[in-house]
Amino acid sequence: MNVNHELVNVKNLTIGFTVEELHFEAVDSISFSISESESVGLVGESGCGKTITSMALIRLLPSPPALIKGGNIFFHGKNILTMLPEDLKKIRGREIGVIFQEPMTSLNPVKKIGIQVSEPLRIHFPGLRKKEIYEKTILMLKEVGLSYPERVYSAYPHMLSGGMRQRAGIATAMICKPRLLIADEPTTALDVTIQAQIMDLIKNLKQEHNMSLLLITHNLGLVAEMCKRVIVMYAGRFAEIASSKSLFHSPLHPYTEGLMTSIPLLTDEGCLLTSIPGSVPHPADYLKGCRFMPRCIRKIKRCMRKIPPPLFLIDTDHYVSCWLYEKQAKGSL
Amino acid sequence: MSIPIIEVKKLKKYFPVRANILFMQKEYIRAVENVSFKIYPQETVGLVGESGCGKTTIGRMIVHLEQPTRGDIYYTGENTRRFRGKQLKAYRKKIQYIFQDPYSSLNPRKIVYNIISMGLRNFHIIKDNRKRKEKVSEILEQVGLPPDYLFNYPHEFSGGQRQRISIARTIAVKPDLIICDEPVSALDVSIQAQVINLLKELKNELYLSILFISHDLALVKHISDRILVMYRGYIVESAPSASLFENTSHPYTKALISAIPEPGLDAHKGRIILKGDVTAVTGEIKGCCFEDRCYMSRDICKREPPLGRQLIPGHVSYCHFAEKV
Amino acid sequence: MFKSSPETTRRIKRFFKIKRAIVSLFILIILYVISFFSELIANDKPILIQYNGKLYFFAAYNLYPDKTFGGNYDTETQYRELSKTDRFTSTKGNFILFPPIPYSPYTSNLNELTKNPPTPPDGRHLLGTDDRGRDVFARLLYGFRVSMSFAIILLIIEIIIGVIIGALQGYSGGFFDLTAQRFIEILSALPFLYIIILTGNIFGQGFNTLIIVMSIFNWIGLSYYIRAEFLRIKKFQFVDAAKLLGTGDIKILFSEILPNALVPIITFAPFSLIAAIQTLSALDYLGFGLPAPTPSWGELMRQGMEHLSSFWLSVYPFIALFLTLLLLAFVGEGLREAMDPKEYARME
Repeated sequence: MNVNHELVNVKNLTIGFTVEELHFEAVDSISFSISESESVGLVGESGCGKTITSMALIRLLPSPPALIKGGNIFFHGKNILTMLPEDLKKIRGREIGVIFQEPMTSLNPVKKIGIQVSEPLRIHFPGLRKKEIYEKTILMLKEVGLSYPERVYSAYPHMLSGGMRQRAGIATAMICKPRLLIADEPTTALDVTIQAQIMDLIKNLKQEHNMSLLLITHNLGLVAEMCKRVIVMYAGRFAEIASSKSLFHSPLHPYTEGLMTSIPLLTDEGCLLTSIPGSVPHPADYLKGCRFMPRCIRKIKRCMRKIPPPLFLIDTDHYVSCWLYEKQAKGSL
Repeated sequence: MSIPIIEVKKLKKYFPVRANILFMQKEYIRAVENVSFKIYPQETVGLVGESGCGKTTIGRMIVHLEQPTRGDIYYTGENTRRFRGKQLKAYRKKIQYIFQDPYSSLNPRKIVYNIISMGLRNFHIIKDNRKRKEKVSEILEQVGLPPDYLFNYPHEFSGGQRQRISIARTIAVKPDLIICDEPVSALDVSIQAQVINLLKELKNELYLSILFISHDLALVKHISDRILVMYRGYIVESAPSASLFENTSHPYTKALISAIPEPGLDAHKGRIILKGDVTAVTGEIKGCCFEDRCYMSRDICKREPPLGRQLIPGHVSYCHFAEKV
Repeated sequence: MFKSSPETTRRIKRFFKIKRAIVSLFILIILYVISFFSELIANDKPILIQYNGKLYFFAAYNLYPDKTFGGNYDTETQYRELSKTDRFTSTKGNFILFPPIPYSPYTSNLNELTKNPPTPPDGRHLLGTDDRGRDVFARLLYGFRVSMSFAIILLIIEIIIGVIIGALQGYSGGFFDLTAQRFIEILSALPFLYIIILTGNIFGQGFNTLIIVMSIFNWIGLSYYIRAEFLRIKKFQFVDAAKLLGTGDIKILFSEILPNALVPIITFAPFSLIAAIQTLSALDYLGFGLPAPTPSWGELMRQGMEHLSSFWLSVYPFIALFLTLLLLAFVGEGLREAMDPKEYARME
């Protein structure tokens, strides 16, 4: 991989939390990178640390309770964690756009849609004239597929439907033409048919503007359709990193496998679903060694060890953090 | 065939939205429009639709948490409209309900024993305290929870375990029919399968009927014998599970099926992307309810409401062009 | 086998961590318990009498006629005089043990005073005497008991009425809610002071009249909170679930919803006590409160206004009132912080 084309590089990121005198590490020394115009999916269940990771990318974590304990995040060669607040402001909204999960709560209910969508423009391009800002906003609203953009411009969030609100949210994230778009569960709150619309939109926008995409979701199906590379996260660590083709063709980690067989598909015939026993552990109960071990049906003796399994390289760009693959590994990360 | 446990006939539910002070004009949200269906013993019926299509309202009307504006619900042939007091209590014992949100459906101030034994006490199923305790432990085991959790509070459980407690409390009273209102949509992906499997097992063990309400078509397909697809308060298609997918004959169902993202390798299947959004309509719909978003809509769809047409026995579609879909 | 709900345990723990509040609560409880034994602390009736080899305990609670001690009357002994009589002092070993403050809040000590009352604080009357020569400390002590008891009784009645009406309003909604709400509006528009004066004149001023009249108005504030809380909680699915499992309405109201709606009652209580004590003092000050001889802080303050040069009549009751209300406010503040779900909202 050419280093010059790396947009985001996260190294050994560890994020600790303190809640009611309880300390725990929600994200435990993870490393990954996103190249220019690449789309990466971050998949995991609620509480596995995927949203925390994405918020750390733009330093939006509330501290306390969160505390970045170690590691570095490089965006275009600059370290986000040591950056001055003024420089950080130049990146947020300008270079990195974020789409939030809940379109109703991420929009301010007492401000007009147009004002909110154009806010990044006014912050990052103070030289622009009012008319230019208005025209650019209208253009953006049109681009995200809102018919009657002038009407939407002067509407308030509650006047729009969920799908339209999410489109407005996308417009806000996209208006400065960022190089990286972080979409945090952008369609979980929406209906299936609307989800299809929104995903279609994000895909087209990504291609048009040649930007990178970090899609955070619990839906494996969405990732399969949207992303070239997939990171599966479990309990604050990466379980598997692979190209989406290779991941869905031959999932290696027992957790990934379990996830895939536990969702009913339209194509399979219904008998009992294979389920993963147990439940997701609380971050305070995370194990030192493999964290999936207590729920794993394929565990071996090595798994009991108190060292986390490293990410073994199995195939080109297919990494898996599981002791089962130690012998066939071509290397590790 | 035997008598259906529940038969719903021309059920309607209108919610008033804007009643002005003089009570002159009332506007209604038409949540449920002329819905009729039957649930037979030991059958699992799936009710699918997007949020706001009225599927939950139907479930709530069946258990009398909501009064229908018009239409009747029959329990083994008996009209439940006039059920009050003892009769209503006896009816509710037979029809139980599992709620969507495992967090708000368990009283945070009650221990598991009290939650599960509530029905046993109220319906006077087991009067003896000691026997009741034994029974509750037994049920707890049946839903896959260790019986020493009896005196814990709901806080101490995960979402999946809470949903198991919810299930335990409903099966404790030995119902004929359980209405499951999105029972897994609030759960983690890896937990969903556990709960679904449990429901299936219990259904076979206890000879239950299930009305499974969900927005997830794949899930509904997995668990149901028969599926009803709803849109904006109308049933648009009703068919046996397999037939719905093989011989889809309503454009909405087709769009819904195509919109489901699947982690397969052939991700680029022909996807139908619908325009627009589901809008809450307060006025009467003249033609077809799906007309404004439909990709096949013609003039007739605006004018005339489609009648149910049976192309294959047991497979009914409410579309003017059912054959062409 | 009983475990209290973890939420409750956490709240109690959090409350115990707030030092100021827990200390205040402790002081208040001790003071209130002590005030029940006021008769043994400040009284002109002795704790112990030895007369002719026999012991007589707690004259405050037992009536010993004059004849017991060789007198001529069936009426109660005047102990202070008794200690000076010959028949008492002649026998060796006879003694009288008076409480630490040997003055009752009701008796005027006119014959012992050197000056005209009110007299300033001195060695015998630590906080001076009032315009009738009664000991101010004794009156403050008894006044504390009266104020606190009044406030607590009022609070209990307030909670009972407020919870029942608020709960019914919130749970039933619709017509009953609307009607009750209008009724409450009418009630709260009535002039409170006017009605107190009126009932005082018709039925006579007294503790019970005051409690009844104030109870009529006092529950309104609490009922608003309870109503809102019930409106919120009745939408929770566990209420529907209980209904489907055959639980009756009354049981749902009190065993399902109420335990979840206790927060406003608990946080409201200390501030309601404050309000009650304030109101009582104000009414006493104006002369519409408790009838004449009852020891009361408001009444003392009124004397202070009439005798402006006698500072002890206004300053000491003021300090007593201020400290009581401050302690209650600390408790209230602590409770509110402990109940607050937000972890970081606490100020330290």
